[in-house]
Amino acid sequence: MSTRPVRVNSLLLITILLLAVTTLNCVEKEGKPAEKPKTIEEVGYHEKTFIFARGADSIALDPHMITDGESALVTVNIFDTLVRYKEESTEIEPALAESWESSEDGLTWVFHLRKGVKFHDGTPFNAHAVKFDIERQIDENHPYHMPGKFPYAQFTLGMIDKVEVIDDYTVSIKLKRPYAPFLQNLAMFAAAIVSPEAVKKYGEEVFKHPVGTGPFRFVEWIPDDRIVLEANPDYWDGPPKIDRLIIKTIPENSVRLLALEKGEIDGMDGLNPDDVERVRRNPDLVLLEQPGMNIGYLGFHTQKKPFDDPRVRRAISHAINKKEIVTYLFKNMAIEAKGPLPPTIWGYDPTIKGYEYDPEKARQLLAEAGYPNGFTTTLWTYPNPRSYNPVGAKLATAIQDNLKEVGIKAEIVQLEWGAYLAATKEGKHDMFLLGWMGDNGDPDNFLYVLFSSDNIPDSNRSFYKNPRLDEILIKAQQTYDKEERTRLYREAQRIIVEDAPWVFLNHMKQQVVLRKNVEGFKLHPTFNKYFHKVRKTSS
Amino acid sequence: MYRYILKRLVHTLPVLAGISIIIFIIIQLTPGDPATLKLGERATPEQIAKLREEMGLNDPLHIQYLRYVKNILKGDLGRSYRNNEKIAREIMRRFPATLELSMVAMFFAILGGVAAGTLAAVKHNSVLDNLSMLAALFGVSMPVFWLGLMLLLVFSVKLGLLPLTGRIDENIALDHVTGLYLVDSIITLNPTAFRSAFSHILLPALALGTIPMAVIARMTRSSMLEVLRQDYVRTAKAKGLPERIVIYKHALRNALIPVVTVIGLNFGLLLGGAILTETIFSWPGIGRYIFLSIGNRDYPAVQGTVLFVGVIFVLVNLLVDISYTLLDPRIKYQ
Repeated sequence: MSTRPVRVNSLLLITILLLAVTTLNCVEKEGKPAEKPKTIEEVGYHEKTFIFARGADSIALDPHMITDGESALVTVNIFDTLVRYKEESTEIEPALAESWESSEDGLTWVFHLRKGVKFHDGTPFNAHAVKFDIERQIDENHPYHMPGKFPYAQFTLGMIDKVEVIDDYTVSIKLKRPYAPFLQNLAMFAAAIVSPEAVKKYGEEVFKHPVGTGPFRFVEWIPDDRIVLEANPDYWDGPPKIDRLIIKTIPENSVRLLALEKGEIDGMDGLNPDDVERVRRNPDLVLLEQPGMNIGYLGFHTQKKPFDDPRVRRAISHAINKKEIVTYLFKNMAIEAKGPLPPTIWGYDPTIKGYEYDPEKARQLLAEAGYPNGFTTTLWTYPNPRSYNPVGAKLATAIQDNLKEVGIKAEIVQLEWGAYLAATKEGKHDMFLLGWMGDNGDPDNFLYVLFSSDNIPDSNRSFYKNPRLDEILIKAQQTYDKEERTRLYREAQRIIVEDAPWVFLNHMKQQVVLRKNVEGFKLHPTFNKYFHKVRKTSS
Repeated sequence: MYRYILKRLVHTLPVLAGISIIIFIIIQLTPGDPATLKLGERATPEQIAKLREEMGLNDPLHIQYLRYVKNILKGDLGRSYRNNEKIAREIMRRFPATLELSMVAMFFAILGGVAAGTLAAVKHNSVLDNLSMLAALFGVSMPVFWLGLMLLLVFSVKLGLLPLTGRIDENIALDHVTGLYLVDSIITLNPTAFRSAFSHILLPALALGTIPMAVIARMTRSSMLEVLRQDYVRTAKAKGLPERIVIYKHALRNALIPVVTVIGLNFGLLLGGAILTETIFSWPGIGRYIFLSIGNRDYPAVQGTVLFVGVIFVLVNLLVDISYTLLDPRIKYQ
């Protein structure tokens, strides 16, 4: 082998030197006249670029494929749905469908589509696109169906029997059974209308080539860094007030806030609870908050003793100090729940007072039920934080203390999440902690799913059965008259609160912080973030 | 020397095979059925059974391993459970960020470390020596998380000199040729982009380079001290050579062998992605990708990325071995 002395340093050093040399090269070039100006100051379009930062990147930008909020945050701004939620409520208004009607039996829905709408790739939006999109998700024989890749489809569209194109702008959807929340489902992010041509063109890769009809068009996605969208000037509901929308990922909560304070970004979510005061004191920032479409609860196995006695359940409802839990344990990131529905969902009954914290009354009720000295039981919990419970198993400890005060000795049983779900499904628990994130903004999605005996043991894990309630919930599901439904759901709430199969603990808040010069942004109960009407005034 | 390189390359093969086996086994041992994970919570047992068959999960382990190796050799690291993206592509979209950050961090580390170490050794037991070694001790002990936040607070928030997050200003258009923004901005003659990319990389590189810098400084010092006591250094001095020549030409070069080893190890580690630094500075690199993939139980992604990082580590160490012969021609390999 060659032993010729080589008068150079290691290869490593060479690479590094190269970098240094290129650095010098460039410094030299800076002396020359600069090419096209490209910084904010020079271009001056920062005014019209809106940067929103969050903690984690999107997973996919195909609305049919996703379940996570970070993906939906982007897709709801690129895609439209046939119907959409009104601002700040979960009521429905027209979107890609201008009007609709349902048949007498409630099985056939006919939608009249908006004319002249084009996808961002220039292809027309029409009834064929609607049929294609729905069948892609629920028909396993559809050429663009991907097994297991449309996790929400069964929930959103599973009740559809078939879709027929009547003419280019009229589509008829036949259901397997009457289902009043159907319209609500069509407003969900997962029911968005994707360009069929894009699906055909990109195949499995369509999740990173989103083509919709929405207010913003997709420009680029740099993973874990940012997703860039630009305004769709031809948007049917009027062009956005900003030219570019950048959704940026800044993983560290405190750094994200620093960036907002400094003005590098215009808005953010994921505020540290400890930073709330700091934001409130800052005159340049605005904090928006609202309870979300979720509930955290302490459930009873209502078919087991002593929880088969409503007096015991009411006693415990009085024994839990929700205010302390929400204030100290959850650091004010939640509000106290009074009943089973979050206040942001239509059909919520504001007259329900719930159970105030009153240990004395709890002891009295226990005595009435035959337990003057309390009893011993188990309290089941999962270890990890959930979106409706930011502290995981600590919540169980707090509740255990509250119970002790009224003489109930609860032993905590903690299982890993998967095992926990399996065990509570089998009904092994006495008391248990769980929660629910709403999907479509319909009261049915809480009340029927969580309290109907049809759903024992899947989502009704308190094994709660009330024939009168069952009847009301089915009736509400099959009635298309909204006023009638509202009346039925209010009655249902009163029954549920009276029966107390759960202690209704909390609704987590959603928080968004904006720079003061941002206008037109409103929180939505679904946690979706719509930037169509956002604009920035100069500050 | 080429035969040596070839030989070393052959030697790395069993190491790589070992890495692949270990990764394969660890993934086998992790709880959860891949088909279930891939299909999500709402899948039916029939769908799961069908996919298990398609994925070959019912085959014996050694068959599965061979298929895995065959795919790797074809450059196919599988697809992510999360969004069905090709893992190889996910890695290649993030690796340039990590590579660029690591190179600049190592540049700082080597420059600062070797200089401080040499100075400390030459001025042995002086105030300068004590000071630089105290600084090095601080550097080694400082938690990156804290240091990163402090750098941000001082240089970005208080002084307003440098940006807080990301790799480049969002309003700057840059053609991505190599994915290394500094290089890309040079290739495309875009000084504005270069300035922005440079100001973005400074703080994270400084934070990431601090620990290696301190390690290199300490290593250079002790190695230099040893070499400076050698007879040939005394001879060189006795010949009347200027101090500068003796130190830089005679002593430093010989002292660099252990230093280069340390540099190689640290560089290899940095290329594996620095989760904390990447998190604090919102740097979209490979470290965060591994971290997120573990959190999401995206096993193919974890498997693919760990294998990739392992290979990079082996390659960097191979380079280090080769550089020994360049630094010191007396080192021969038979």
